[in-house]
Amino acid sequence: MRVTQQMLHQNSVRHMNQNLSRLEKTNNQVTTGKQLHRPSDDPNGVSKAMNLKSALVANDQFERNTNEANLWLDESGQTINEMVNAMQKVRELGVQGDSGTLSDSDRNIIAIEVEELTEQIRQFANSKVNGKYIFNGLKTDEPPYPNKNSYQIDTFDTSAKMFTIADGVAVKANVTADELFGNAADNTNLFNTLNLLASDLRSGSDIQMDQIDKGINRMLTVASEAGARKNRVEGIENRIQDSNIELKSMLSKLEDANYAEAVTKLKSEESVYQASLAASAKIIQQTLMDFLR
Amino acid sequence: MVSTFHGLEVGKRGLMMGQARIATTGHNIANANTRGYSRQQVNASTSPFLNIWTSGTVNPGQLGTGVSLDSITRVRDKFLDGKFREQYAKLGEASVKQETLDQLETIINEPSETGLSSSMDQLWGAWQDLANDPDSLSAKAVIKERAQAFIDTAQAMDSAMTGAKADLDNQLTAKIKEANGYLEQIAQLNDSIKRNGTQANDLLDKRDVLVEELSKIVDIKVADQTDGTYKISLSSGETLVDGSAVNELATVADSDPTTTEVIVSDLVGGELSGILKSLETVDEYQANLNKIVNDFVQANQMSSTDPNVPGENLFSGNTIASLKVNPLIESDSSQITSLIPGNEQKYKSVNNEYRALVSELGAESQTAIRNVANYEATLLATDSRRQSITGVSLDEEMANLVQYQHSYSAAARMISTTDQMLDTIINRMAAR
Repeated sequence: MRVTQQMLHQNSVRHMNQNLSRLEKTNNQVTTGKQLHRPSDDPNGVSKAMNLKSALVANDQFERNTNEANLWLDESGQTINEMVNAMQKVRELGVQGDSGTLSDSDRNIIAIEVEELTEQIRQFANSKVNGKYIFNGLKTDEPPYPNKNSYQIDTFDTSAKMFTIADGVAVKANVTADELFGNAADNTNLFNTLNLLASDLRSGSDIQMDQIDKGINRMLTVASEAGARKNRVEGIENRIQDSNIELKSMLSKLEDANYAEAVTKLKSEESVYQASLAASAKIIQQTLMDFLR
Repeated sequence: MVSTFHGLEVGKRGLMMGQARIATTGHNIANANTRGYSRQQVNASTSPFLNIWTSGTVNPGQLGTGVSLDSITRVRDKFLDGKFREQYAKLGEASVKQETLDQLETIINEPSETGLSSSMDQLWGAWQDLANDPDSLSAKAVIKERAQAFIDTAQAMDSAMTGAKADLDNQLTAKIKEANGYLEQIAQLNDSIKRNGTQANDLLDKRDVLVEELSKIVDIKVADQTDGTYKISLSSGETLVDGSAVNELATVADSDPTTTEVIVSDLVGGELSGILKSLETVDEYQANLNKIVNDFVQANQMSSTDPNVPGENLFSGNTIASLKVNPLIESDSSQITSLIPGNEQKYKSVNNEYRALVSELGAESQTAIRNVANYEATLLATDSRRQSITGVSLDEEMANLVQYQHSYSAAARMISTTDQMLDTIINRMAAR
């Protein structure tokens, strides 16, 4: 084939351009650390990366939700523990008051102590987390037992407070007043029991220990349920964290440039470019003219 | 016997030939870098012989009379010219399409931390925070802001697409104008060539350059006519140039009855067809984006306090341009209630739709990049083959120059030798 200067020139320019553009692309990968910049770099990869990113954002949200659920369950559990402790004291007082050797004034003093503990339990029932009443269903801005006699009619909300902790998985993170203390209509209602105890102490009637035990048992049952739910939330929390690591490493594989590879490639593209410059410089200036006389 | 001065005549013809060849070599060298120039060569043959008496045969001997200059022609390959034009039209169309897709990729701006996908994810997160804490005014305020951010992103994309279409429209007008300019000039050159004859090499080159430029814009067929003019028509058959008559390209028919136009349809090929197809592509993506945004709006339907009444939507408006945060919420973000149940699925499906759009665009753009690279490679290969035939090689011209210089000198020597012969006859023989 006949070769002309213009061909040499055109081809040299074209090759230098091609090499420079490859150098630029590799350089881009090294300086940004990413190998995906636009959808055409890898249409399927970009779609996958977007999916993983959405999953990561959702996971972050689930993680925040599990933290919140954990907080509620923790606080509920601890408060119930305190209430159980108070009830143990009530039980001791009940046993003490049940013996026939006590005087009226002694029993009166015990009754006053029981009333104090009742008030204490009512206050526990009105506990708040982050300014929210935790035992009042979804009406978290109102206390379930605003005053001493509120237990006589059900004013509290019994709705479940749900947190979405995984795709399609919602968990109930609250304990409601009726679960803990019983309804107003229920004669085993804890406040009813406590009020009865105080009046029985004062009147010297028989103390109904089984009612007190029932109250304690109900609290313990609710506490263990809450504990079980907390375990479940923690399990899911661990799974979310594991899956986060997994998702991030998948995303990184898709999206991030492999530095060792990218830098090596940059070096080699650089030398290819230099070679093309050197070759062009050599070939373009030569003509027969250099050798004629 | 021949004339006494025969030798002078032969020498003179040699000199003239040498001069013509050296001048043509000079012309070639001077135009080595002229675009579209094809190297010229001097075609020569021996001039008519003289019959002279020879002994030993009944036939007369034939005495050479030197060289005669037949023509100066350009070295050109019509087949490769046709191929080049065909490929140039394909490259023109593919390049425009690729540039448009490239622009769309920039507009879509994925994968990124600031694209539409991440603004949808963020709004979803804000809804979840509100679900955890349904009375929180700050969570509601965040939802309002996230909604506004989504609108801003979607509207920026939408108006960039509208801008891209306006650009394409401008390009269409400019390209048609450019093509019509070429048609005009080709017609004028046709006229000049008709008057100057079919060996008007430099005019032929000029016309071929213009035809090539035209072939990038529209797919054309070129027919050589006997008077040296070209008849150029669209691949679909309409005549654009015939001799000095021109039919201009136009998007709509002109009201002037004295001119005729060829209306540009999507059959024209080349850059024009690239632009027309790009307009369709941008339209499609814009419509898809609108659909996605509309579906996303549906996913943000809120529940009402009254279960029998459908709740308000976080957004109002059903096209991107009219999209707003619901005015009710805009003035009072405490009006935000929870999402209606089941919206998680809607959110997911919108996300999928959008991802599908992005990967479709990516795949289309990737194909376009490959197409352009392929067409470029084939065009360059054809151009190289053509250059190899028509291009000026300086080495070759130099070698020729040396060769022609020597033959010129030799021809001059022929004259001085004849002169010496004549000196012998005229001066030595007479001076007795």
